Amino acid sequence: MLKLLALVIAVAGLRLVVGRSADGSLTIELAHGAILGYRLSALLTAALAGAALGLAGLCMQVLLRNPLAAPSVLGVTSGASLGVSLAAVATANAWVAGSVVPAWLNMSIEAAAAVAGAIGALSLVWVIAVRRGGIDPISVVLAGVVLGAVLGAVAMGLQWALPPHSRADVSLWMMGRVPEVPSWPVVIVSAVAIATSLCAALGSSVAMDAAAAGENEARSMGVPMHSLRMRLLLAAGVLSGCAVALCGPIAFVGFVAPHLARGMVGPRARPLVVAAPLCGVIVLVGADACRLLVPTTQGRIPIGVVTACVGGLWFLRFIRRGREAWT
Amino acid sequence: MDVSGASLRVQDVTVGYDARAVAGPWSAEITPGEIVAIVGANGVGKSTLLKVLAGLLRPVCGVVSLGTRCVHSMSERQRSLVVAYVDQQPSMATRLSARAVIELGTWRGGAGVPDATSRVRGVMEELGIEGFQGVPWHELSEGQRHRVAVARALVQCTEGVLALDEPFAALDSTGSVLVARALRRRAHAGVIVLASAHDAGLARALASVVVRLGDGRAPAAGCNALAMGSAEVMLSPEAMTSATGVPHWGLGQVDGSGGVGPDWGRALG
Repeated sequence: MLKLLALVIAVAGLRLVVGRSADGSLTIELAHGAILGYRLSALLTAALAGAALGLAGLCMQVLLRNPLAAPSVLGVTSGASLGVSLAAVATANAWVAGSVVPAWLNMSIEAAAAVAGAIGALSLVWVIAVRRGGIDPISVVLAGVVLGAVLGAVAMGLQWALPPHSRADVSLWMMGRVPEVPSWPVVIVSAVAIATSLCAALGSSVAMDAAAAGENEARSMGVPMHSLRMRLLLAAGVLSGCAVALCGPIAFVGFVAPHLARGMVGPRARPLVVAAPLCGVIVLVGADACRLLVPTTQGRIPIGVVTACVGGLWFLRFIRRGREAWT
Repeated sequence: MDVSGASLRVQDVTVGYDARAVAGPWSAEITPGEIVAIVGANGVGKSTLLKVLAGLLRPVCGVVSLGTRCVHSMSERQRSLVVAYVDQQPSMATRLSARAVIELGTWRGGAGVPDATSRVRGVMEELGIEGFQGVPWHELSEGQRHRVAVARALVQCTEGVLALDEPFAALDSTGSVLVARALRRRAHAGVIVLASAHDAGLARALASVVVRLGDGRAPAAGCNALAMGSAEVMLSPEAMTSATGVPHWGLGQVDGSGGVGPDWGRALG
Protein backbone atom coordinates (compact mmCIF):
# COMPACT_ATOMS: atom_id res chain seq x y z
CA MET A 1 0.00 0.00 0.00
CA LEU A 2 2.91 2.34 0.78
CA LYS A 3 4.40 1.42 -2.57
CA LEU A 4 1.12 2.44 -4.20
CA LEU A 5 1.07 5.78 -2.41
CA ALA A 6 4.66 6.42 -3.45
CA LEU A 7 3.71 5.67 -7.06
CA VAL A 8 0.73 8.01 -6.85
CA ILE A 9 2.98 10.79 -5.58
CA ALA A 10 5.54 10.01 -8.27
CA VAL A 11 3.10 10.23 -11.21
CA ALA A 12 1.47 13.31 -9.71
CA GLY A 13 4.88 14.95 -9.45
CA LEU A 14 5.69 13.93 -13.00
CA ARG A 15 2.43 15.42 -14.26
CA LEU A 16 3.19 18.68 -12.46
CA VAL A 17 6.71 19.18 -13.79
CA VAL A 18 6.40 17.91 -17.35
CA GLY A 19 5.20 20.42 -19.89
CA ARG A 20 5.74 21.75 -23.37
CA SER A 21 6.97 25.20 -24.06
CA ALA A 22 5.49 27.38 -26.75
CA ASP A 23 7.93 26.12 -29.40
CA GLY A 24 6.89 22.53 -28.78
CA SER A 25 9.96 21.36 -26.96
CA LEU A 26 9.66 19.27 -23.85
CA THR A 27 10.25 21.12 -20.61
CA ILE A 28 10.75 19.74 -17.15
CA GLU A 29 10.42 22.43 -14.58
CA LEU A 30 8.31 23.34 -11.62
CA ALA A 31 5.69 25.62 -13.07
CA HIS A 32 4.26 28.56 -11.17
CA GLY A 33 1.36 30.93 -11.34
CA ALA A 34 -1.39 30.20 -13.81
CA ILE A 35 0.44 27.27 -15.43
CA LEU A 36 0.75 25.54 -12.07
CA GLY A 37 -2.95 26.21 -11.48
CA TYR A 38 -3.86 24.58 -14.81
CA ARG A 39 -1.67 21.60 -14.12
CA LEU A 40 -3.08 21.17 -10.63
CA SER A 41 -6.65 21.25 -11.94
CA ALA A 42 -5.78 18.76 -14.67
CA LEU A 43 -4.08 16.57 -12.09
CA LEU A 44 -7.09 16.71 -9.79
CA THR A 45 -9.54 15.91 -12.58
CA ALA A 46 -7.48 13.03 -13.94
CA ALA A 47 -6.92 11.65 -10.45
CA LEU A 48 -10.63 11.73 -9.64
CA ALA A 49 -11.59 10.14 -12.96
CA GLY A 50 -8.92 7.47 -12.51
CA ALA A 51 -10.03 6.68 -8.97
CA ALA A 52 -13.67 6.55 -10.08
CA LEU A 53 -12.85 4.19 -12.96
CA GLY A 54 -10.66 1.94 -10.81
CA LEU A 55 -13.35 1.55 -8.16
CA ALA A 56 -16.11 1.20 -10.78
CA GLY A 57 -14.15 -1.58 -12.49
CA LEU A 58 -13.68 -3.43 -9.21
CA CYS A 59 -17.38 -3.11 -8.36
CA MET A 60 -18.37 -4.44 -11.78
CA GLN A 61 -15.97 -7.37 -11.55
CA VAL A 62 -17.49 -8.34 -8.20
CA LEU A 63 -21.03 -7.71 -9.41
CA LEU A 64 -20.67 -9.87 -12.51
CA ARG A 65 -18.16 -12.36 -11.06
CA ASN A 66 -16.06 -11.70 -14.11
CA PRO A 67 -12.48 -10.40 -14.24
CA LEU A 68 -13.07 -9.00 -17.73
CA ALA A 69 -15.80 -6.65 -16.56
CA ALA A 70 -15.03 -2.94 -16.75
CA PRO A 71 -16.99 0.19 -17.66
CA SER A 72 -15.53 0.47 -21.16
CA VAL A 73 -15.70 -3.27 -21.92
CA LEU A 74 -19.36 -3.64 -21.06
CA GLY A 75 -20.76 -0.58 -22.79
CA VAL A 76 -21.24 1.39 -19.59
CA THR A 77 -18.93 4.12 -20.83
CA SER A 78 -20.89 4.21 -24.09
CA GLY A 79 -24.10 4.54 -22.11
CA ALA A 80 -22.64 7.50 -20.25
CA SER A 81 -21.44 9.07 -23.52
CA LEU A 82 -24.89 8.63 -24.98
CA GLY A 83 -26.28 10.41 -21.94
CA VAL A 84 -23.85 13.27 -22.44
CA SER A 85 -24.65 13.48 -26.17
CA LEU A 86 -28.37 13.57 -25.43
CA ALA A 87 -27.81 16.31 -22.90
CA ALA A 88 -25.62 18.19 -25.39
CA VAL A 89 -28.31 18.02 -28.06
CA ALA A 90 -30.96 19.11 -25.60
CA THR A 91 -28.97 22.04 -24.27
CA ALA A 92 -27.81 23.07 -27.77
CA ASN A 93 -31.43 23.19 -28.87
CA ALA A 94 -32.35 25.13 -25.76
CA TRP A 95 -29.57 27.57 -26.61
CA VAL A 96 -30.87 27.91 -30.16
CA ALA A 97 -34.32 28.53 -28.76
CA GLY A 98 -32.93 31.62 -27.12
CA SER A 99 -32.61 30.62 -23.47
CA VAL A 100 -29.17 31.11 -22.02
CA VAL A 101 -27.81 27.99 -20.38
CA PRO A 102 -24.96 28.83 -18.04
CA ALA A 103 -21.88 26.62 -18.47
CA TRP A 104 -21.98 25.14 -14.98
CA LEU A 105 -25.62 24.13 -15.40
CA ASN A 106 -24.79 22.71 -18.81
CA MET A 107 -22.00 20.62 -17.32
CA SER A 108 -24.15 19.47 -14.41
CA ILE A 109 -26.91 18.36 -16.73
CA GLU A 110 -24.36 16.47 -18.81
CA ALA A 111 -22.92 14.83 -15.70
CA ALA A 112 -26.35 13.77 -14.49
CA ALA A 113 -27.10 12.39 -17.94
CA ALA A 114 -23.78 10.53 -17.95
CA VAL A 115 -24.59 8.88 -14.62
CA ALA A 116 -28.09 7.97 -15.80
CA GLY A 117 -26.71 6.54 -19.05
CA ALA A 118 -24.09 4.48 -17.22
CA ILE A 119 -26.60 3.01 -14.76
CA GLY A 120 -29.02 2.30 -17.60
CA ALA A 121 -26.39 0.52 -19.70
CA LEU A 122 -25.16 -1.58 -16.78
CA SER A 123 -28.71 -2.55 -15.85
CA LEU A 124 -29.32 -3.59 -19.45
CA VAL A 125 -26.19 -5.77 -19.51
CA TRP A 126 -27.37 -7.33 -16.27
CA VAL A 127 -30.85 -8.05 -17.59
CA ILE A 128 -29.53 -9.50 -20.85
CA ALA A 129 -26.76 -11.68 -19.44
CA VAL A 130 -28.24 -12.98 -16.22
CA ARG A 131 -30.67 -15.80 -16.14
CA ARG A 132 -31.72 -18.28 -13.53
CA GLY A 133 -28.86 -20.28 -12.17
CA GLY A 134 -26.20 -17.69 -12.67
CA ILE A 135 -24.32 -15.34 -14.90
CA ASP A 136 -22.74 -16.71 -18.02
CA PRO A 137 -19.34 -14.99 -18.29
CA ILE A 138 -19.30 -15.14 -22.09
CA SER A 139 -22.82 -13.71 -22.37
CA VAL A 140 -21.87 -10.83 -20.09
CA VAL A 141 -18.94 -9.79 -22.24
CA LEU A 142 -20.79 -10.30 -25.53
CA ALA A 143 -23.85 -8.44 -24.31
CA GLY A 144 -21.66 -5.60 -23.07
CA VAL A 145 -19.60 -5.31 -26.23
CA VAL A 146 -22.62 -5.31 -28.55
CA LEU A 147 -24.59 -2.97 -26.30
CA GLY A 148 -21.57 -0.66 -26.28
CA ALA A 149 -21.50 -0.66 -30.07
CA VAL A 150 -25.22 0.06 -30.31
CA LEU A 151 -25.17 2.86 -27.74
CA GLY A 152 -22.03 4.28 -29.34
CA ALA A 153 -23.77 4.35 -32.71
CA VAL A 154 -26.78 6.16 -31.28
CA ALA A 155 -24.42 8.66 -29.63
CA MET A 156 -22.69 9.19 -32.98
CA GLY A 157 -26.04 9.80 -34.66
CA LEU A 158 -26.85 12.40 -32.04
CA GLN A 159 -23.50 14.13 -32.54
CA TRP A 160 -24.13 14.26 -36.24
CA ALA A 161 -27.35 16.09 -35.49
CA LEU A 162 -25.53 18.74 -33.46
CA PRO A 163 -24.73 22.15 -34.90
CA PRO A 164 -21.24 22.08 -36.53
CA HIS A 165 -19.37 24.05 -33.88
CA SER A 166 -20.50 21.84 -31.02
CA ARG A 167 -20.06 18.76 -33.20
CA ALA A 168 -16.31 19.31 -33.34
CA ASP A 169 -16.33 19.97 -29.64
CA VAL A 170 -18.15 16.75 -28.84
CA SER A 171 -16.05 14.57 -31.13
CA LEU A 172 -12.90 15.90 -29.44
CA TRP A 173 -14.54 15.15 -26.12
CA MET A 174 -15.25 11.59 -27.28
CA MET A 175 -11.50 11.02 -27.53
CA GLY A 176 -11.12 11.70 -23.85
CA ARG A 177 -10.03 15.02 -22.46
CA VAL A 178 -8.46 16.08 -19.20
CA PRO A 179 -9.74 19.62 -18.81
CA GLU A 180 -7.42 22.23 -17.37
CA VAL A 181 -10.46 24.25 -16.42
CA PRO A 182 -12.76 21.64 -14.92
CA SER A 183 -16.37 22.13 -13.97
CA TRP A 184 -16.17 22.44 -10.22
CA PRO A 185 -19.68 21.15 -9.40
CA VAL A 186 -18.84 17.96 -11.29
CA VAL A 187 -15.48 17.69 -9.52
CA ILE A 188 -17.10 18.07 -6.11
CA VAL A 189 -19.91 15.61 -6.86
CA SER A 190 -17.37 13.09 -8.17
CA ALA A 191 -15.19 13.44 -5.10
CA VAL A 192 -18.20 12.87 -2.86
CA ALA A 193 -19.31 9.88 -4.95
CA ILE A 194 -15.85 8.30 -4.75
CA ALA A 195 -15.58 8.86 -1.00
CA THR A 196 -19.07 7.47 -0.36
CA SER A 197 -18.57 4.39 -2.55
CA LEU A 198 -15.16 3.74 -1.01
CA CYS A 199 -16.55 3.79 2.52
CA ALA A 200 -19.54 1.65 1.54
CA ALA A 201 -17.28 -0.85 -0.24
CA LEU A 202 -14.94 -1.03 2.76
CA GLY A 203 -17.96 -1.76 4.92
CA SER A 204 -19.05 -4.67 2.74
CA SER A 205 -15.63 -5.97 1.75
CA VAL A 206 -16.14 -9.45 3.24
CA ALA A 207 -19.50 -9.67 1.49
CA MET A 208 -17.69 -8.79 -1.74
CA ASP A 209 -15.25 -11.66 -1.13
CA ALA A 210 -18.07 -14.09 -0.37
CA ALA A 211 -20.04 -12.91 -3.40
CA ALA A 212 -17.34 -14.49 -5.55
CA ALA A 213 -19.07 -17.77 -4.73
CA GLY A 214 -22.16 -18.81 -6.61
CA GLU A 215 -25.47 -17.14 -5.81
CA ASN A 216 -26.71 -19.87 -3.46
CA GLU A 217 -23.48 -20.37 -1.55
CA ALA A 218 -22.97 -16.63 -1.16
CA ARG A 219 -26.48 -16.23 0.20
CA SER A 220 -25.99 -19.15 2.57
CA MET A 221 -22.81 -17.49 3.86
CA GLY A 222 -24.95 -14.53 4.88
CA VAL A 223 -24.50 -12.19 1.91
CA PRO A 224 -27.72 -10.30 1.16
CA MET A 225 -27.06 -10.70 -2.56
CA HIS A 226 -29.98 -8.59 -3.70
CA SER A 227 -29.01 -5.48 -1.79
CA LEU A 228 -25.28 -6.01 -2.40
CA ARG A 229 -25.94 -6.14 -6.14
CA MET A 230 -28.08 -3.03 -6.08
CA ARG A 231 -25.32 -1.17 -4.24
CA LEU A 232 -22.58 -2.43 -6.54
CA LEU A 233 -24.62 -1.55 -9.62
CA LEU A 234 -25.38 1.90 -8.27
CA ALA A 235 -21.76 2.54 -7.29
CA ALA A 236 -20.38 1.27 -10.62
CA GLY A 237 -22.91 3.35 -12.55
CA VAL A 238 -22.41 6.58 -10.61
CA LEU A 239 -18.63 6.27 -10.66
CA SER A 240 -18.44 5.46 -14.38
CA GLY A 241 -20.80 8.33 -15.11
CA CYS A 242 -18.72 10.74 -13.03
CA ALA A 243 -15.54 9.64 -14.82
CA VAL A 244 -17.13 10.22 -18.21
CA ALA A 245 -18.46 13.61 -17.08
CA LEU A 246 -14.98 14.57 -15.87
CA CYS A 247 -12.76 13.34 -18.70
CA GLY A 248 -14.91 11.87 -21.44
CA PRO A 249 -15.10 8.19 -22.37
CA ILE A 250 -11.68 6.87 -21.42
CA ALA A 251 -11.26 3.17 -22.14
CA PHE A 252 -9.68 0.34 -20.17
CA VAL A 253 -8.54 2.24 -17.07
CA GLY A 254 -11.36 0.57 -15.15
CA PHE A 255 -10.18 -2.79 -16.43
CA VAL A 256 -6.46 -2.37 -15.82
CA ALA A 257 -6.64 -0.75 -12.38
CA PRO A 258 -8.26 -3.61 -10.40
CA HIS A 259 -5.86 -6.13 -11.96
CA LEU A 260 -2.82 -4.00 -11.19
CA ALA A 261 -4.18 -3.65 -7.67
CA ARG A 262 -4.61 -7.43 -7.29
CA GLY A 263 -1.03 -7.89 -8.34
CA MET A 264 0.10 -5.50 -5.63
CA VAL A 265 -2.15 -6.17 -2.62
CA GLY A 266 -3.61 -9.61 -3.31
CA PRO A 267 -7.12 -10.87 -3.98
CA ARG A 268 -8.94 -9.77 -0.81
CA ALA A 269 -11.58 -7.10 -1.34
CA ARG A 270 -10.66 -5.00 1.68
CA PRO A 271 -7.24 -3.80 0.50
CA LEU A 272 -8.43 -3.92 -3.12
CA VAL A 273 -11.15 -1.37 -2.45
CA VAL A 274 -8.41 1.15 -1.60
CA ALA A 275 -5.79 -0.10 -4.04
CA ALA A 276 -7.98 -0.23 -7.17
CA PRO A 277 -8.82 3.49 -7.16
CA LEU A 278 -5.18 4.32 -6.37
CA CYS A 279 -4.08 2.24 -9.33
CA GLY A 280 -6.70 4.06 -11.42
CA VAL A 281 -5.08 7.34 -10.38
CA ILE A 282 -1.64 6.04 -11.30
CA VAL A 283 -2.79 4.78 -14.71
CA LEU A 284 -4.78 7.83 -15.72
CA VAL A 285 -2.45 10.50 -14.37
CA GLY A 286 0.47 8.50 -15.75
CA ALA A 287 -1.20 8.32 -19.17
CA ASP A 288 -1.87 12.05 -18.98
CA ALA A 289 1.79 12.73 -18.24
CA CYS A 290 2.99 10.30 -20.90
CA ARG A 291 0.99 11.87 -23.70
CA LEU A 292 2.97 15.05 -23.13
CA LEU A 293 6.03 13.09 -24.18
CA VAL A 294 4.60 12.35 -27.63
CA PRO A 295 5.81 15.10 -29.98
CA THR A 296 3.04 16.52 -32.18
CA THR A 297 2.52 19.73 -34.08
CA GLN A 298 -0.99 20.30 -32.78
CA GLY A 299 -0.95 20.07 -29.02
CA ARG A 300 -1.17 16.88 -27.06
CA ILE A 301 -2.62 13.63 -28.32
CA PRO A 302 -6.00 12.78 -26.72
CA ILE A 303 -5.67 10.78 -23.53
CA GLY A 304 -8.24 8.23 -24.73
CA VAL A 305 -5.80 7.19 -27.45
CA VAL A 306 -3.11 6.41 -24.89
CA THR A 307 -5.31 4.44 -22.48
CA ALA A 308 -7.10 2.50 -25.23
CA CYS A 309 -3.82 1.44 -26.88
CA VAL A 310 -2.04 0.43 -23.69
CA GLY A 311 -5.10 -0.90 -21.83
CA GLY A 312 -6.50 -2.69 -24.86
CA LEU A 313 -3.25 -4.57 -25.42
CA TRP A 314 -3.22 -5.47 -21.75
CA PHE A 315 -6.77 -6.78 -22.09
CA LEU A 316 -5.75 -8.98 -25.03
CA ARG A 317 -2.79 -10.30 -23.08
CA PHE A 318 -5.13 -11.10 -20.21
CA ILE A 319 -7.38 -13.16 -22.50
CA ARG A 320 -4.36 -14.81 -24.08
CA ARG A 321 -3.17 -16.00 -20.68
CA GLY A 322 -6.07 -18.35 -20.77
CA ARG A 323 -8.71 -19.99 -18.75
CA GLU A 324 -7.12 -19.75 -15.33
CA ALA A 325 -7.54 -16.03 -15.55
CA TRP A 326 -11.31 -16.41 -15.82
CA THR A 327 -12.01 -18.14 -12.59
CA MET B 1 -31.51 -17.54 17.35
CA ASP B 2 -31.39 -20.75 19.35
CA VAL B 3 -32.17 -23.79 17.28
CA SER B 4 -30.43 -26.43 19.35
CA GLY B 5 -32.79 -29.37 19.61
CA ALA B 6 -35.07 -27.90 16.95
CA SER B 7 -36.40 -30.13 14.20
CA LEU B 8 -36.63 -29.25 10.53
CA ARG B 9 -40.33 -29.47 9.79
CA VAL B 10 -41.43 -29.95 6.21
CA GLN B 11 -45.14 -29.36 5.68
CA ASP B 12 -46.80 -30.24 2.36
CA VAL B 13 -43.85 -28.97 0.41
CA THR B 14 -43.95 -29.12 -3.35
CA VAL B 15 -40.79 -28.00 -5.10
CA GLY B 16 -40.19 -26.72 -8.59
CA TYR B 17 -39.07 -23.77 -10.65
CA ASP B 18 -41.23 -20.89 -11.82
CA ALA B 19 -44.33 -22.31 -10.12
CA ARG B 20 -43.92 -25.54 -12.12
CA ALA B 21 -43.97 -28.41 -9.67
CA VAL B 22 -41.17 -30.96 -9.98
CA ALA B 23 -41.63 -33.05 -6.86
CA GLY B 24 -43.86 -33.35 -3.83
CA PRO B 25 -45.96 -32.73 -1.92
CA TRP B 26 -43.89 -34.03 0.96
CA SER B 27 -44.16 -33.77 4.73
CA ALA B 28 -41.61 -34.86 7.26
CA GLU B 29 -40.02 -33.95 10.52
CA ILE B 30 -36.28 -34.27 10.58
CA THR B 31 -34.89 -34.35 14.09
CA PRO B 32 -31.44 -33.15 15.21
CA GLY B 33 -28.72 -35.68 14.60
CA GLU B 34 -30.34 -37.20 11.56
CA ILE B 35 -28.52 -37.59 8.27
CA VAL B 36 -30.96 -37.46 5.38
CA ALA B 37 -29.87 -38.65 1.97
CA ILE B 38 -31.94 -37.40 -0.94
CA VAL B 39 -31.48 -39.89 -3.76
CA GLY B 40 -32.93 -40.39 -7.19
CA ALA B 41 -32.05 -40.27 -10.85
CA ASN B 42 -30.68 -37.19 -12.57
CA GLY B 43 -33.21 -34.43 -13.07
CA VAL B 44 -35.87 -35.56 -10.60
CA GLY B 45 -35.39 -32.48 -8.43
CA LYS B 46 -32.92 -33.53 -5.73
CA SER B 47 -30.97 -30.28 -5.88
CA THR B 48 -34.19 -28.30 -6.03
CA LEU B 49 -35.54 -30.02 -2.94
CA LEU B 50 -32.23 -29.48 -1.15
CA LYS B 51 -32.24 -25.76 -1.96
CA VAL B 52 -35.81 -25.49 -0.71
CA LEU B 53 -34.92 -27.27 2.53
CA ALA B 54 -31.89 -24.99 2.92
CA GLY B 55 -34.09 -21.91 2.57
CA LEU B 56 -32.46 -20.75 -0.66
CA LEU B 57 -35.39 -21.42 -2.95
CA ARG B 58 -39.04 -20.93 -2.13
CA PRO B 59 -41.23 -24.00 -2.50
CA VAL B 60 -44.10 -23.88 -4.97
CA CYS B 61 -46.26 -24.44 -1.92
CA GLY B 62 -45.80 -25.61 1.63
CA VAL B 63 -43.66 -24.51 4.55
CA VAL B 64 -40.18 -25.47 5.77
CA SER B 65 -39.48 -24.40 9.34
CA LEU B 66 -36.61 -24.85 11.72
CA GLY B 67 -37.92 -24.72 15.27
CA THR B 68 -40.44 -21.92 15.16
CA ARG B 69 -38.98 -20.00 12.22
CA CYS B 70 -39.77 -20.49 8.55
CA VAL B 71 -36.42 -20.81 6.79
CA HIS B 72 -37.68 -18.75 3.86
CA SER B 73 -38.65 -15.74 5.94
CA MET B 74 -35.21 -15.37 7.54
CA SER B 75 -32.77 -12.77 6.29
CA GLU B 76 -29.58 -14.11 4.69
CA ARG B 77 -27.67 -13.16 7.79
CA GLN B 78 -30.06 -14.93 10.16
CA ARG B 79 -30.13 -17.99 7.94
CA SER B 80 -26.34 -18.15 7.74
CA LEU B 81 -26.32 -18.81 11.49
CA VAL B 82 -28.48 -21.92 11.25
CA VAL B 83 -28.19 -23.28 7.71
CA ALA B 84 -24.93 -23.91 5.83
CA TYR B 85 -25.10 -24.96 2.19
CA VAL B 86 -22.59 -26.36 -0.31
CA ASP B 87 -23.29 -26.28 -4.03
CA GLN B 88 -22.96 -29.22 -6.37
CA GLN B 89 -20.07 -27.54 -8.16
CA PRO B 90 -18.70 -24.91 -5.83
CA SER B 91 -17.38 -22.09 -7.97
CA MET B 92 -15.65 -18.93 -6.88
CA ALA B 93 -14.58 -16.11 -9.17
CA THR B 94 -11.60 -15.44 -6.99
CA ARG B 95 -7.92 -15.95 -6.42
CA LEU B 96 -8.31 -16.25 -2.66
CA SER B 97 -6.35 -19.11 -1.09
CA ALA B 98 -8.08 -22.27 0.09
CA ARG B 99 -7.66 -21.10 3.66
CA ALA B 100 -9.11 -17.66 2.92
CA VAL B 101 -12.16 -19.27 1.31
CA ILE B 102 -12.65 -21.49 4.37
CA GLU B 103 -12.33 -18.42 6.58
CA LEU B 104 -15.29 -16.87 4.77
CA GLY B 105 -17.34 -19.40 6.76
CA THR B 106 -16.50 -17.49 9.93
CA TRP B 107 -18.21 -14.35 8.65
CA ARG B 108 -21.90 -15.26 8.76
CA GLY B 109 -23.15 -11.87 7.68
CA GLY B 110 -20.91 -10.18 10.24
CA ALA B 111 -22.12 -12.24 13.20
CA GLY B 112 -18.95 -14.34 13.29
CA VAL B 113 -18.37 -17.74 14.88
CA PRO B 114 -16.87 -18.44 18.31
CA ASP B 115 -13.16 -19.39 18.32
CA ALA B 116 -12.85 -18.71 14.61
CA THR B 117 -9.13 -19.43 14.26
CA SER B 118 -9.14 -22.76 16.06
CA ARG B 119 -12.34 -23.78 14.26
CA VAL B 120 -10.75 -23.13 10.89
CA ARG B 121 -7.63 -25.03 11.88
CA GLY B 122 -9.66 -27.93 13.23
CA VAL B 123 -11.81 -28.27 10.12
CA MET B 124 -8.79 -28.07 7.81
CA GLU B 125 -7.20 -30.88 9.77
CA GLU B 126 -10.43 -32.87 9.73
CA LEU B 127 -10.67 -32.72 5.93
CA GLY B 128 -6.95 -32.95 5.23
CA ILE B 129 -6.65 -29.50 3.69
CA GLU B 130 -3.48 -28.25 5.43
CA GLY B 131 -1.36 -29.49 2.55
CA PHE B 132 -2.92 -27.10 0.05
CA GLN B 133 -4.30 -24.38 2.32
CA GLY B 134 -2.18 -21.70 0.66
CA VAL B 135 -3.05 -22.62 -2.94
CA PRO B 136 -5.26 -20.04 -4.66
CA TRP B 137 -8.77 -21.25 -5.46
CA HIS B 138 -8.35 -21.07 -9.23
CA GLU B 139 -5.42 -23.49 -9.08
CA LEU B 140 -7.22 -26.13 -6.98
CA SER B 141 -8.49 -29.33 -8.56
CA GLU B 142 -12.21 -30.02 -8.69
CA GLY B 143 -12.01 -32.39 -5.74
CA GLN B 144 -9.88 -29.99 -3.69
CA ARG B 145 -12.36 -27.19 -4.37
CA HIS B 146 -15.17 -29.35 -3.17
CA ARG B 147 -13.32 -30.23 0.00
CA VAL B 148 -12.60 -26.54 0.61
CA ALA B 149 -16.26 -25.64 0.08
CA VAL B 150 -17.38 -28.35 2.50
CA ALA B 151 -14.80 -27.11 5.00
CA ARG B 152 -16.18 -23.59 4.68
CA ALA B 153 -19.67 -24.90 5.46
CA LEU B 154 -18.37 -26.96 8.41
CA VAL B 155 -16.73 -23.84 9.85
CA GLN B 156 -19.96 -21.92 9.37
CA CYS B 157 -22.27 -24.57 10.80
CA THR B 158 -22.44 -24.46 14.60
CA GLU B 159 -26.02 -25.71 14.87
CA GLY B 160 -29.09 -26.24 12.77
CA VAL B 161 -28.85 -27.59 9.24
CA LEU B 162 -25.92 -28.57 7.02
CA ALA B 163 -27.10 -29.07 3.43
CA LEU B 164 -24.79 -30.48 0.77
CA ASP B 165 -25.61 -31.01 -2.89
CA GLU B 166 -23.84 -34.13 -4.17
CA PRO B 167 -21.06 -33.92 -1.58
CA PHE B 168 -19.29 -37.05 -2.80
CA ALA B 169 -19.63 -36.72 -6.56
CA ALA B 170 -16.36 -34.88 -7.11
CA LEU B 171 -14.34 -36.51 -4.34
CA ASP B 172 -11.90 -39.41 -4.44
CA SER B 173 -12.31 -42.17 -1.88
CA THR B 174 -9.99 -40.51 0.65
CA GLY B 175 -11.84 -37.24 0.39
CA SER B 176 -15.21 -38.97 0.54
CA VAL B 177 -14.34 -40.80 3.71
CA LEU B 178 -12.97 -37.65 5.35
CA VAL B 179 -16.10 -35.72 4.45
CA ALA B 180 -18.41 -38.55 5.47
CA ARG B 181 -16.74 -38.86 8.87
CA ALA B 182 -16.97 -35.12 9.37
CA LEU B 183 -20.68 -35.18 8.54
CA ARG B 184 -21.27 -37.99 10.96
CA ARG B 185 -19.47 -36.09 13.73
CA ARG B 186 -21.69 -33.08 13.08
CA ALA B 187 -24.79 -35.27 13.23
CA HIS B 188 -23.64 -36.71 16.55
CA ALA B 189 -23.29 -33.15 17.78
CA GLY B 190 -26.95 -32.51 16.94
CA VAL B 191 -26.73 -30.96 13.48
CA ILE B 192 -29.28 -32.00 10.85
CA VAL B 193 -27.31 -33.16 7.80
CA LEU B 194 -28.99 -33.16 4.39
CA ALA B 195 -27.18 -34.55 1.36
CA SER B 196 -28.29 -35.29 -2.15
CA ALA B 197 -26.71 -38.06 -4.17
CA HIS B 198 -27.48 -39.52 -7.57
CA ASP B 199 -25.31 -42.54 -6.96
CA ALA B 200 -26.33 -43.35 -3.48
CA GLY B 201 -23.50 -45.56 -2.23
CA LEU B 202 -21.79 -43.53 0.43
CA ALA B 203 -24.73 -41.24 1.12
CA ARG B 204 -26.87 -44.27 1.89
CA ALA B 205 -24.24 -45.92 3.99
CA LEU B 206 -24.11 -42.74 6.01
CA ALA B 207 -27.77 -41.79 6.14
CA SER B 208 -30.34 -42.47 8.80
CA VAL B 209 -33.14 -41.57 6.40
CA VAL B 210 -33.15 -41.98 2.66
CA VAL B 211 -35.56 -39.87 0.66
CA ARG B 212 -35.90 -41.22 -2.81
CA LEU B 213 -37.33 -38.87 -5.39
CA GLY B 214 -39.09 -40.89 -8.04
CA ASP B 215 -40.63 -39.93 -11.32
CA GLY B 216 -44.15 -39.90 -9.95
CA ARG B 217 -44.85 -43.55 -10.58
CA ALA B 218 -45.75 -46.06 -7.91
CA PRO B 219 -43.40 -46.07 -4.91
CA ALA B 220 -40.82 -48.78 -4.83
CA ALA B 221 -41.37 -51.69 -2.54
CA GLY B 222 -40.32 -51.11 1.05
CA CYS B 223 -41.03 -47.41 1.07
CA ASN B 224 -42.36 -45.89 4.19
CA ALA B 225 -45.89 -44.62 4.43
CA LEU B 226 -44.56 -41.07 4.89
CA ALA B 227 -44.17 -40.98 1.16
CA MET B 228 -46.62 -38.90 -0.79
CA GLY B 229 -46.83 -37.96 -4.38
CA SER B 230 -43.58 -38.49 -6.19
CA ALA B 231 -41.38 -37.98 -3.16
CA GLU B 232 -40.84 -41.29 -1.49
CA VAL B 233 -39.38 -41.61 1.93
CA MET B 234 -37.74 -44.81 2.86
CA LEU B 235 -36.47 -45.47 6.32
CA SER B 236 -33.28 -47.41 6.22
CA PRO B 237 -32.52 -50.21 8.69
CA GLU B 238 -30.01 -47.94 10.36
CA ALA B 239 -32.66 -45.37 11.15
CA MET B 240 -34.83 -48.03 12.65
CA THR B 241 -32.09 -49.25 14.91
CA SER B 242 -31.24 -45.74 15.98
CA ALA B 243 -34.91 -45.15 16.66
CA THR B 244 -34.78 -47.99 19.12
CA GLY B 245 -32.01 -46.19 20.93
CA VAL B 246 -29.08 -48.16 19.58
CA PRO B 247 -27.15 -45.90 17.30
CA HIS B 248 -25.77 -47.91 14.47
CA TRP B 249 -24.03 -46.32 11.59
CA GLY B 250 -24.32 -47.42 8.17
CA LEU B 251 -23.15 -50.49 6.44
CA GLY B 252 -24.41 -51.85 3.23
CA GLN B 253 -27.71 -53.30 4.28
CA VAL B 254 -29.75 -50.79 2.33
CA ASP B 255 -30.42 -52.56 -0.86
CA GLY B 256 -31.96 -51.56 -4.12
CA SER B 257 -30.83 -49.25 -6.85
CA GLY B 258 -28.22 -47.56 -4.71
CA GLY B 259 -25.67 -50.32 -4.94
CA VAL B 260 -24.05 -49.89 -1.56
CA GLY B 261 -20.59 -51.36 -1.54
CA PRO B 262 -19.35 -52.98 1.62
CA ASP B 263 -16.18 -50.87 1.24
CA TRP B 264 -17.93 -47.73 2.40
CA GLY B 265 -19.19 -49.43 5.50
CA ARG B 266 -15.74 -50.64 6.40
CA ALA B 267 -14.13 -47.30 5.58
CA LEU B 268 -16.50 -45.48 7.86
CA GLY B 269 -15.89 -47.90 10.68
